[in-house]
Amino acid sequence: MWRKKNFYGHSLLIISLLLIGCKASLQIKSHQFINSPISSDSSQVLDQSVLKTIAPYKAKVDGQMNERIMVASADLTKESPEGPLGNMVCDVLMRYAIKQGKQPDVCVLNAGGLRIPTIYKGDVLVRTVFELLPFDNQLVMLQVSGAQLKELLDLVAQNNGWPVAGLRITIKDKKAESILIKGEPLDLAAKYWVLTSDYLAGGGDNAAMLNQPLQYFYFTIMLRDALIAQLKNMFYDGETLQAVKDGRITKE
Amino acid sequence: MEELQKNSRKAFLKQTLYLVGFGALANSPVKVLAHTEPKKLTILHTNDWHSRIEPFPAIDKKLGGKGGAAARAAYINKVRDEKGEILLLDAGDIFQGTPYFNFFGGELEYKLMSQMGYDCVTLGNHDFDAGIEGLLKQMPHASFDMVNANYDFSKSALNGKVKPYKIYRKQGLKIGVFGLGIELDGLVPAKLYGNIIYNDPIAVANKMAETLKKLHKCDLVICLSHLGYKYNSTKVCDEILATKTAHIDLIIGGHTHTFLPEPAWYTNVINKKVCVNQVGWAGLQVGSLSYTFEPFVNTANEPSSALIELTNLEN
Repeated sequence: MWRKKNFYGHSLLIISLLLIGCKASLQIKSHQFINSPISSDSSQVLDQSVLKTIAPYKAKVDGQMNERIMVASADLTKESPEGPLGNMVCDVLMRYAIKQGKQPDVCVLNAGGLRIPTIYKGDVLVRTVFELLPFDNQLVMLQVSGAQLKELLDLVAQNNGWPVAGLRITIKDKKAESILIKGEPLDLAAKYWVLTSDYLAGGGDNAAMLNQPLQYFYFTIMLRDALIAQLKNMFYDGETLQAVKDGRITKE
Repeated sequence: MEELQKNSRKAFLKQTLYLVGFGALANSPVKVLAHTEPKKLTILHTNDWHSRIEPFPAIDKKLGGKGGAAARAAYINKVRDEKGEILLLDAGDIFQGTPYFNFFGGELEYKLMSQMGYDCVTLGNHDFDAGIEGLLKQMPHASFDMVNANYDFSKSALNGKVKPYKIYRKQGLKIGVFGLGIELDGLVPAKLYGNIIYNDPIAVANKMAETLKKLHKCDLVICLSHLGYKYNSTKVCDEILATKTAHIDLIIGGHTHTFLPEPAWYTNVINKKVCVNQVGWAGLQVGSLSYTFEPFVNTANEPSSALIELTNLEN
């Protein structure tokens, strides 16, 4: 019995050694490739079991996307050098940050980040905010020098005005002039906290001056979610959205 | 499957006998076993799903009606019906991009990929968007493997949950799959990726590929990469990976959302061809790579790249 087992063991070992030692290498003989486009239009076959898995989630998403989180008392339009839509987004984000116990001095976003031209008078839905801010940009706060802030505001001027809050500038020859931060003239030697998106903070849209901040704070929330949260709070407190255009950016 | 294994065992035994009999031929690149059936394997792959469960909405002028998980599943099933056992892979960034992620944290994405029969995925930067905890929470919904070899997880809660590589046996072939991730610092808030340490992808890839090819004798070595296809800088990317390493046969990429019109070919450090493919994002395309293998009794010399035939059937 023992002998037999041992014999078996030996022959297995020999065969294994042969297999390891003499494994015929497989060679790739040919390839075929195709990157197939996927479409869900009416001519296409859809997987019914996958649709069934999606259905309950879709019902919840659709339900939540249609939730009313605010009412606009007037049309809020995207304009330059300043407009009610950009002003609203920056003002509301400033209030969100303050509610989190932070003290941003200013808020600056890029105009390209706002993806719909108008929030119309009436109900504002979660879906509206998703359409307004479809990019998954995070809300961040950077501490910069007054000189860096001046550079950033020159970029705002160069772009004929971006959405801002907490400051006033006049655009003259594509430069920011008569700069007021929270009502005070800009001090090039002072330090300021700038509320913005991680997109601009990462140097996007030529905002390279934001690449080397003195300090960095992550809210770990997307701009969109912060806006939704703050709008909900305001609506709960009985506020509605007004079309604010207060001359924070003027052109000479 | 069992039948296949049995067959391949039979084939090996046969080969062994042939080797004993034709020992003199063992080192010559002659196809001694020309009568043996070639082995075929189809690899399907996606990257950067970005939580695209539904097709793009009709109001989207460019992408309206395109994509959609149910259409992807139907395509994958069709290929399975035609080819039998396939290998189904994803190169990361499964999470983030639609309310499905915001509301359910990736649960539906993982459930659907499990339902579609994905074998293996790697981690993209956005897969950390809900933090390590968020990722851990969704893992029970994933019946597929997760691989990454250049993140050191030893101080992370993901330790042991993400393997450096996995070996798959499909169609009688042995396929090694390892993963590479992009540097998370600057891309993902440190708070979200925690104590993961990033290691140089090139050094890690060389080690992995050699282990899979030489030690485990894989017939095919695949790298699932979330490094990105190519940059206007010296930043490490799939192109650099392909040319600065040895023993990788195929790099399936992601991150840069690159729609390659066809796979790109590079020559690696040992003068072998490396295939790089990436299929954009959002599940708008599924990549399909079909390989045919033939056994060669030539253990002393590596098959030379000149012997590889390239069939380009569709653009």
